[in-house]
Amino acid sequence: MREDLNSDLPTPARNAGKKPAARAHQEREIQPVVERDGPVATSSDRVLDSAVHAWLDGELPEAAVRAGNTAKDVEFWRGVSKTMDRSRLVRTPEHVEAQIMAALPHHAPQLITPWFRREFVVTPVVAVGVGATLMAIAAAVTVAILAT
Amino acid sequence: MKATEPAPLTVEQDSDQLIIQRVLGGNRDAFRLLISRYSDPLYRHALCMTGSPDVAEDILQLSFIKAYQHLAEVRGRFDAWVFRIVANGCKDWLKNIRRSHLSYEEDDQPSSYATPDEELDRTELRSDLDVALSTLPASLREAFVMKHVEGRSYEEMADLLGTTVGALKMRVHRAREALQALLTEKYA
Repeated sequence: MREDLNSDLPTPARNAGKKPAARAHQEREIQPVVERDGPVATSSDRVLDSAVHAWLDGELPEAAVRAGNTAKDVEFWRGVSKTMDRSRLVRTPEHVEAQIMAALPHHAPQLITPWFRREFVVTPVVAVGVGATLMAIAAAVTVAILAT
Repeated sequence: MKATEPAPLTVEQDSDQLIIQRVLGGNRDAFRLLISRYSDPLYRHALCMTGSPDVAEDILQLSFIKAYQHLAEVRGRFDAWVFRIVANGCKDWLKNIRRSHLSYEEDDQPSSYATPDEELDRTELRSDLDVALSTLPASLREAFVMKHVEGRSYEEMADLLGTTVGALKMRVHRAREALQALLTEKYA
């Protein structure tokens, strides 16, 4: 797969410095696109009519785009839609569920909370315990200091 | 005294939250219901994103294992949460793989086409569409698949992907234009 160093630029800007013949050759190719959010290389500068997008988005009835310049586009997308119908019938292979169940850990899932997100509950017993510990530490430190 | 046994779980009746509570309580088998409830749309998504049934199965399996391990952390809808795990799995796979063409067979599905010629045309278009889809960046492919294969609304897509309706419309429009440009000479 080719890396396009100009992939951050819009397509016209990327092609600006190229000779027409080289550009035409590039446009004829179907180029695998690297995984990025940049512009997609296409075989022409054709832009789909906004009415066709609106129809495909369910915002316009088909009658609004069936005639005129958009008729070919409508036919094309009807074909794609029928083809896509098959993808909607795909089901998970039957063995997959059993495979997943067999691969699951045998213990119940545990909530793993980092110590800094844990909730500290101070009960009277805990408060007395902590207080006594602190007093003991303070006493020990005092004794140690006095001894030196 | 006889111990009270939990009522058997049924796919139709129990909410995801109830099933999750049972799994967290030690009923590991209840997780099967979540798998059977959501595996088909998740598998379709992974298949369309990766183009490979084997990879789609792997991503699905790893995603459900991850979902099980972190089940206690689910906040909100389980289906949206597990979808994000699968979608991220697909995108991670796409990031790591460099390939020019992958196609998949789904000919075990029943045919709904009228004539053998029409069937042949559809199979060819399907194959070309797969190739064209595989050239799109992951974000455009994801948006196109969610819109046109999974039939989701833009609002639902925005909810699942954590982005805006406007951004998703833009992605779908760009994906359509790229696909049409790639396929137009042959089919339009």
